Amino acid sequence: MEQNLDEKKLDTIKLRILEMETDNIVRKESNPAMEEKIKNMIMKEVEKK
Amino acid sequence: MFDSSFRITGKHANYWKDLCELAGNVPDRDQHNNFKIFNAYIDAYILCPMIGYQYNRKGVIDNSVSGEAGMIADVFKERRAQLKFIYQTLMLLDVDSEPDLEKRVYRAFTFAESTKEEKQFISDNMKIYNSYFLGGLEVLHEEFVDQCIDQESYLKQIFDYVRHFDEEQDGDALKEGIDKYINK
Amino acid sequence: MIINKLEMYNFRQYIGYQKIEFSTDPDKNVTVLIGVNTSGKTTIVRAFEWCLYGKNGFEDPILLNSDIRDNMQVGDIQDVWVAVTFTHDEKVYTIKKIFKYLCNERISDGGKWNVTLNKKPEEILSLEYLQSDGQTKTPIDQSNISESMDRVLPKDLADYFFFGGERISGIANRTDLSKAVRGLMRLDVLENASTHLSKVVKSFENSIDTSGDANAQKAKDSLGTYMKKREQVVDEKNNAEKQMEYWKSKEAEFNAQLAKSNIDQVKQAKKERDRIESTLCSEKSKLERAKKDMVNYFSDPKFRAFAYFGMPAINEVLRSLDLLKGTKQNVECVPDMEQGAIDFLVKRGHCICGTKLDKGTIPYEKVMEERRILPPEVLSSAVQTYKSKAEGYLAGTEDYKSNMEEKYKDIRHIVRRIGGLTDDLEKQSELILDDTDAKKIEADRKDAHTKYIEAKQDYDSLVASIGGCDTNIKNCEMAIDKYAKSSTKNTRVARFISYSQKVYDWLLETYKGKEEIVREQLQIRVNDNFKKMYHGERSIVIDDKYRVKYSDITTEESDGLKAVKSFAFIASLVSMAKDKILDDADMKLGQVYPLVMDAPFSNVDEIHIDNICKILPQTANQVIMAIMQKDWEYASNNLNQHVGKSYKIEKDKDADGKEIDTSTHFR
Repeated sequence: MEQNLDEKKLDTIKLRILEMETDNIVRKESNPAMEEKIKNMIMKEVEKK
Repeated sequence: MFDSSFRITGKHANYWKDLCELAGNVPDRDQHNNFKIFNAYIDAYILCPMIGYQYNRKGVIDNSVSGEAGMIADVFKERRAQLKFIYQTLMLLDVDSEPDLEKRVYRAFTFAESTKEEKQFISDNMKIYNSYFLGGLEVLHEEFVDQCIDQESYLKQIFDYVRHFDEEQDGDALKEGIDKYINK
Repeated sequence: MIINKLEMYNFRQYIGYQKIEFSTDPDKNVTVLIGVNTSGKTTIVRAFEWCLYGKNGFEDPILLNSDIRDNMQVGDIQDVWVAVTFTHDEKVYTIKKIFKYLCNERISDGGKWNVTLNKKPEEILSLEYLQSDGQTKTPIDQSNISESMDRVLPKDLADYFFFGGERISGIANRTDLSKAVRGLMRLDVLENASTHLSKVVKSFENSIDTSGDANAQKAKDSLGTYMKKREQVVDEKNNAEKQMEYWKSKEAEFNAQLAKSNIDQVKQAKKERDRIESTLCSEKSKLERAKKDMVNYFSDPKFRAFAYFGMPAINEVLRSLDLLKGTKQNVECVPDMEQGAIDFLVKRGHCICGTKLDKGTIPYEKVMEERRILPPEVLSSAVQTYKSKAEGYLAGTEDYKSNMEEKYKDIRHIVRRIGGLTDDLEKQSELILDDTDAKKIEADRKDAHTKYIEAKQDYDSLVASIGGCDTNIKNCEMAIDKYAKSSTKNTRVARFISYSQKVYDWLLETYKGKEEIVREQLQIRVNDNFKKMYHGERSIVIDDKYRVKYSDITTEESDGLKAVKSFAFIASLVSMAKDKILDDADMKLGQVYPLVMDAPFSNVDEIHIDNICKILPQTANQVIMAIMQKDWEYASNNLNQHVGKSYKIEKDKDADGKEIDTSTHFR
């Protein structure tokens, strides 16, 4: 499963997750909704240039 | 190039309509009455290819749903300089269709369309431009139409989208951002 | 959060308007409220809970003073409210919650009146803060109130800061304290992130397994559809329920209005309403303009969003064009010479050195050979044109983000103003009611009744369709399970998994590292506090759920000991939040919290009261306690020097000197 992973991409994903979760402490969206959001975000970031 | 009317069908036509203000007589206007982030089709046609490239997304016409949208040749007139610039940029960049850099340079700066071969050459190149356009439509549709419910959320998303892009240009800014959240 | 004052109006036994100001002096940070049993000490903590979080802890849920209630006639409306003024992040806020009780029925019951009030009284909640000038009050948007309060002190944590004596001994023994501790230390972000991400990884893995199987795919698709539908139906059901209640109370309200229509203040209110309406109108068109402006900035190519978002691509092109030039030079051609130059020489027929250049001769062939490796004139100038264009486009993009930010801020600003004006307008409209409206009110009442019936029908059918969705969801899940088996590995998904897994590992590691620090610190502090409070020799361990345990043998522990343990725990928690164990300024932590307690010492030995009273004022930022007279006698020894304000809670007395249960005042 180990491939060459782009560090900038990893950092982007880390930052976006932290942002979303911080936001969600107050917004309290359901777990499935958050998982879906995170999943979509990861797919998008990985496919990006 | 950029001198005849342009028209697409299927899924992407609907995306295009979702993203742009609709002028004139549009029969299915009601199905696309969400908030618009583009004033006109042509505006999306200029921005989307760059977005598509950024996300490495080339779209393919998908007629599993019906839809149709297009522009007449006239609208290209005022925007030709920008369109040409973006076309050239993509022609220089798209390695998938042409791995040799020198050939890409030739491709980017050749515009003659007099012979049949030349016409075919340009038309193949336009296919690349348009596939990035479709890819960009997909990305923006996911970012905006799929995620935003009201005007407020569209506007916030525009700002966030611009802000995120800004951050992502700079690895240090990303790291700083992470630091802020978890501070060592 | 530091509490400045509590105001109550007809709240339970606190009849009429009553106010308590709390000490905010950091040296004398204790406020005591001294009272006998049943005087209304508990009501104080509950007033806070109700106002701040909407919790109603009373057995009889009606909050209205029962004297006032007994004197209500059918159609009368009486307000109950509680307002809490507090300081947070150097700003002074006031949150106020009002219940409007409407009398529905009044029946004589053997000499006593039996008054029935509406079950769901209309609720009005407002939150405002004082501008730095100390006078201007700015209301916070209705829709943002609960979010704002959650930022000040999250509801989940409120239990640890507002509590009654009967609860204190249980706190440190709860089954799981992780939530409170993680919330307070902001570990929850990392924790939630890793929980969610682990599910995401699973879901990616799942999508590899079933993607090859058409049946599984089909089931998966319909599962999604049913899930979405269920969510939607539940929303609709909740809506219908709200509608039902709304129209029912509306009907009652119209009934009450019909009973007494008045003409006074109508003109004044109308005038005011017109004024607000015109301001609102101009703000709204301002908003429309601002929105258009922002969209334009994104859409119109003249602002060059394409160059902004194309920045990486364009830079890549510029880099590769430079590279191209480099390789050309390596081939060793005449520098700065282009094909056009050779063409010129051939056309004129002789070289610079004078040699004739006839077709087919060796010099001609040599020159043409040279021509082949030179850049075509057209191409090179085209590249130049492209470059300068690119640089021009890029030059305009540096400010793109900050300009967009300005525009967005502008919009937010106008939206807030409009929110405020809309609230004002609402208020004025409520005042307007002229007597010709009587007819209209009656029509409205009928309308409300019909709408109630409709809402009820909707509600019933929606409940049924939720059941249908549930069955379908179950079937789909079973089908997916059945068909789930590996099929062609999808490299795309594999990449997603690698990235997610890597980020997940990182999150987990970071979380564990921080959690360890918190646990260690908490253990040190709890032990420290416990030693100061408890007379014996015992040491304490914090387990994985943040429960407080004794490290030695587990003996029976008295309620008193439990209470001491809890006090040690809470005092430590508060002090950790205050000391910013984990964060810097950006995290908005390092907050101060009040401790509001009711009868805190009811189970505690005298000697421990003594010790606890020494520690609490030092660890907590503000202590407010309602305390029994007899406990105060012990507590005052150590507490007195920290007391900034003190009150007595006393029941009023009737003419015979007998205490009245329904009327209490502060002295």
